[in-house]
Amino acid sequence: MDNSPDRAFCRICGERLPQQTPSLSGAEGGRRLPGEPNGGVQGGLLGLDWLLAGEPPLPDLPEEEEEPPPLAQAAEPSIARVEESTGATPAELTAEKLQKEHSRAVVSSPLLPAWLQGVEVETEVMEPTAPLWDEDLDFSDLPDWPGPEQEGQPAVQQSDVPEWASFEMDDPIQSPEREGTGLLIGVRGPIPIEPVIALMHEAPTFPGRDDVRTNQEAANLFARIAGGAVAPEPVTLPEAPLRGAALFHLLLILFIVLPLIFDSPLFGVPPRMAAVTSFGDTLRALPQSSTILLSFDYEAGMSDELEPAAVATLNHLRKLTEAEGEAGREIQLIVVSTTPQGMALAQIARQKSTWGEENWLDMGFLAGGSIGVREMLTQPFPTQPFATAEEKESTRRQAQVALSNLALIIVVGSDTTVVQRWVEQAGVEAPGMPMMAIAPSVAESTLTPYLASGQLDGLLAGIPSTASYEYHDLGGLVETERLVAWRRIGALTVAALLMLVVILAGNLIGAGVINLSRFRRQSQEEE
Amino acid sequence: MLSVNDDLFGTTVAAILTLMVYSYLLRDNPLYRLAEHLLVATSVAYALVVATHLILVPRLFEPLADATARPDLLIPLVLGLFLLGKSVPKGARLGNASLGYLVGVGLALATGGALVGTLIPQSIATMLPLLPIGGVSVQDVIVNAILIVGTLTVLFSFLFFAGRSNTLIQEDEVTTPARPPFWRVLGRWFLMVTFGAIFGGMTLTYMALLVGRIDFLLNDWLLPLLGL
Repeated sequence: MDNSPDRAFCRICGERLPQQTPSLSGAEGGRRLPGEPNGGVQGGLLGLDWLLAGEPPLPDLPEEEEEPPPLAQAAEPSIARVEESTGATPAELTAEKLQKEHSRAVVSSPLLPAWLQGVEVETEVMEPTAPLWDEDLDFSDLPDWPGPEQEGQPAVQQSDVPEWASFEMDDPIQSPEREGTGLLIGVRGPIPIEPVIALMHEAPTFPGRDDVRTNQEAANLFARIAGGAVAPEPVTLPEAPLRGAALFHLLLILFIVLPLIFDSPLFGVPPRMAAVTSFGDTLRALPQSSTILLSFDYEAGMSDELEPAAVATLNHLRKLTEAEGEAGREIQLIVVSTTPQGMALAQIARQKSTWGEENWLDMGFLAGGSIGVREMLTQPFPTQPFATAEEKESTRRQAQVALSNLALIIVVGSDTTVVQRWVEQAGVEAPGMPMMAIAPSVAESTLTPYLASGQLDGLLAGIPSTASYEYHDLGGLVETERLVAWRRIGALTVAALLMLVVILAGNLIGAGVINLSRFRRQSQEEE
Repeated sequence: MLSVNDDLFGTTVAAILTLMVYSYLLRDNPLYRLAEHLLVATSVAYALVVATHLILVPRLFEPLADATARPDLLIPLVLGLFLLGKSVPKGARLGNASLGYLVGVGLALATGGALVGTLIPQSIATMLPLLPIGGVSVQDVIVNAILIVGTLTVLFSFLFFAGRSNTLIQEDEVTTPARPPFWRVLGRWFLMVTFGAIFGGMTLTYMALLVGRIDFLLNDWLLPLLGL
């Protein structure tokens, strides 16, 4: 371990510095890259400013027989020349250099402004101090890195350089530089500098893949929030433009109110649909003294669409019951509900229809969904509110008798699954039992296959079907009752047309705006 | 029995609540919140009353209190009490048996019903003639062909297997997803048409509900209130 006072030491830790003195003059030229002009890389690389600065001195290897190129020779520091002339040890040369030359250095660099050129800078040479841990540790086995060869130490041979690091050793023209530090010291151009790798690259986007920039921004934001760098703040969403929305709502209400006031269907008689025709025909084909199981399986929120159909069905059944002669039917109704609100809605529908309290057997609420349906078809259990035990027992016996004459099941369901439940459970428990459904318009497309397969004998889907049913099957039958669906069909048609126009116009305008913004962005990118 | 005045009073309350709900179209406001909370509260209270008076009392408590009590009803009583343990973390395990019984019976019924009531009948209903013979018209053949092709392509579009259609092909050092086969694209188009029909039906349903509410406000409340 050479702790000679002639050598330089770190000001902070007291560690001995390498025996290479950086030149304070930047005019000696930087490392020249392949294909680059003299003077090294000229700007444009972030974080690579060291390439613009001076090159550390490179000691010559005595084994090297090649002469360095003129540029590299000009860049050789003066320390090497002093060594050749005086024959002093590198440690002595370093100390001498520090004291004689670097104590008064002249600043000269093409990168500095003119007023800084030629300024003499006084430098301070620190007194060597021994490191604090020098007495405890033994560095005698370690090489004197990265100093040049010392007495008794074998020089670096070309054969010692690994193959991957010496691929350009024999081509001094393309790579005239030598490695100045590390184990590859003295080797010419083992690793050429690739300035491109320091440039910022945008991640390539492949066709058919989603653009991940938005997701990446969200991920970065999440990482910053999770790391505590950014505190999450509530975002106040901009309020929707009230004027446009209010105008649309006002227009929609106006389009609905006017046909309702004038009580006009506007677009004539609705067509007679096959499912509606089958619905009426099935009721007219009921045998004498038959029982109909009527299930009200909807909530109050759907009553505006389903109640007119239920009321129209009850009116039709009442007229069939009151008809004289062969057209008259003795019909018994068993009313159940698989929803809690269905019981009350069934009573409301009955009160709005012409069906009285006679032949109306209310079994109440069926709990359990599919289990309740299966139980109803096998062993009915009445759950009427405010009924005594005797009344319930009487109802149960009547239901058992009536179910033996069960001729039809009508399900008033708020969605497809309710009707499916009845179709599936009745298909197991009472296969072949005629069944019809009253459902909203949204369920029509999913219930139509059951019509095609014969599992449903009729379907009233929404106000349009109900209006057709009222006009073609109840027109003239119900003289005193107002035909609700027939009154609403005009307003519904206008509202549906308005919504159709809004949806189409909104999609077209939206597509136009998106394409226009995309075209503008592409034009800006091309420019 | 409700009188005319009582009926008009109830209709007025219903109309005011309807207007309070529709005030949300302008913006969120306390009137809408009040109507919303009233709806939730009355729904929960109604469901509680129904469950108590129509299920628990007549089907469980009264038979158990009767002299000729049915001891088999102790089983649902115990299972129901165990189900209450689900509300406490320490007693959650007690409700597993009750929940398993409910789920098991429900799934058994649903599976059997779906198999007998939907899958088999609908599969049979898809087996339609494709030749205009035996009383089958050309129009029926076309409809049947569309139905069969639509059913098969939609079913095949839901197949998930590791094949060429699911792999990425590399051409000119650019990785692109492979083009799906024609039948899968056709199945997706049938799905799109179905979704469009459902969306149209949903729009019609909600428009019908809106028309119903406005009809109620106009013909059932405002005009009778004004004596028109």
